[in-house]
Amino acid sequence: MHIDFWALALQAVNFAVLAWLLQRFLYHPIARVVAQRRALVETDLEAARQARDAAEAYRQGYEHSIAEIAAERERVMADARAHIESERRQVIERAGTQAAAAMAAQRRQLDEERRQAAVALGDQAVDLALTLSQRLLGQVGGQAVTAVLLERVCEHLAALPSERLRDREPVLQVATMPGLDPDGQARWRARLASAIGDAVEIIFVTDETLIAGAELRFPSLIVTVAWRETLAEARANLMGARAIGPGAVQGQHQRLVDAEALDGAKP
Amino acid sequence: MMEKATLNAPIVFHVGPVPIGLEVVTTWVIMAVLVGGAWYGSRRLSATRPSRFQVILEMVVGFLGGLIRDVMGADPAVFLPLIGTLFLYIVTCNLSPLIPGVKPPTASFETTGALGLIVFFTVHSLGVRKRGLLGYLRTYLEPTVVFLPLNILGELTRTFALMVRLAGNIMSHELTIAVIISLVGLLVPIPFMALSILVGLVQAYIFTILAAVFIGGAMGTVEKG
Repeated sequence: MHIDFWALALQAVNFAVLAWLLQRFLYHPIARVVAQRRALVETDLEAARQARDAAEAYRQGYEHSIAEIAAERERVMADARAHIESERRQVIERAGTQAAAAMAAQRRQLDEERRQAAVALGDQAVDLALTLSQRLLGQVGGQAVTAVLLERVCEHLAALPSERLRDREPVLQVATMPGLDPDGQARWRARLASAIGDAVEIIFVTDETLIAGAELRFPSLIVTVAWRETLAEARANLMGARAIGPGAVQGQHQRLVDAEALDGAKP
Repeated sequence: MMEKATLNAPIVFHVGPVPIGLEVVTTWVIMAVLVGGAWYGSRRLSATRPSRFQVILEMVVGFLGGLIRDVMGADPAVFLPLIGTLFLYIVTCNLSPLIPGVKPPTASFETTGALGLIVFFTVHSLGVRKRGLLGYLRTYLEPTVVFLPLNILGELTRTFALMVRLAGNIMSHELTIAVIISLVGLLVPIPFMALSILVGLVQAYIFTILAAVFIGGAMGTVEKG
């Protein structure tokens, strides 16, 4: 074995040439294209980075907008709640006022109805009492009671000025309940003539409305002593109406009522 | 008359006084293939739509660049012509016997010797350039002056070992396959030929790695062994 130095030198030269050729046709072009790709990748990365930053900024803006919208919503909700609360209070106050007014009106109406019912009930009670009294007095009344009451009428008549009766009253109607028999009429005609004079025409009538009693009816004066007035006074007292006292004058006709005579004539 | 057996490659022709051996001719063919492939692959390089061949070339160059960066800790662009060409050339030479009738150039001591000498001179030239002449020579006195002969001897022997290891492995593998073929016919050597792919790749990797380590050691980027 021996070393072929020519071959050794040629192989060294071959290797150097190969290295140069590969550098020119392989390493350098590949390095260049890799650098280009790296630059492209860097560009894309930078673009992606910028896009990401933009997206991040957009996301932050979006979140900021969301936060602002949420705050605005809360504010609007708070305002709406406050407004609703105010409205509710006002409605409640209005409703309370209306309810109070309605209750007061209802209470007044109720009081009025109660009062009217009480009045009606009182009227009914009075009517019932008067009816019962009228029925009872009608049953117990008689000539004796009529005579007593007629005597009371005459006493009141005697208390009046005599000139007033003689000058102005030519006709006298004597109403009694119960009616007088002919003897009683003759006796009382004489009794009345002595009191008011003979010129006065005396007519006797029976008036059931008196219940019991007698009434002297002049054209401008009525003198009454009868249960009717007594019961009417009792009814007025029971109903809180104006009282009709003894000797009171009512309307154009003077009606004299002797309550004590009536009380004395009660059975 | 029997032909005399020899480890030297046969002479194909002469150019004047210069004999052109078979390994030189084979090297030219391999150079043509490598350069032609590189030219073909780099004709229409695209940064955005690379072809499959471009992708393969980028993977190979990327692998070699990563090897330089990892082993030497240096810029791949500076050493790619030397280290990358060493690997590609040796791999192509080692795998060339897969084509019937082709004798690998790396099986000859002239080829591996040329490669070893290139590495040897590169190591020392870069060492001097990096450290300065005195600074580089001072590295032979480390750790003490006593180690000077050993360091010089180590420099020579490692280059010699680099050369002999590659040539010896490839040559022995070729001889083994030749012997097996002569003894047992065609089918039995196929596994050995498949094994020669692994051997060729491993030997090329070893040579390239050692060259990178030697250069890196001279530059100081790799601890000198």
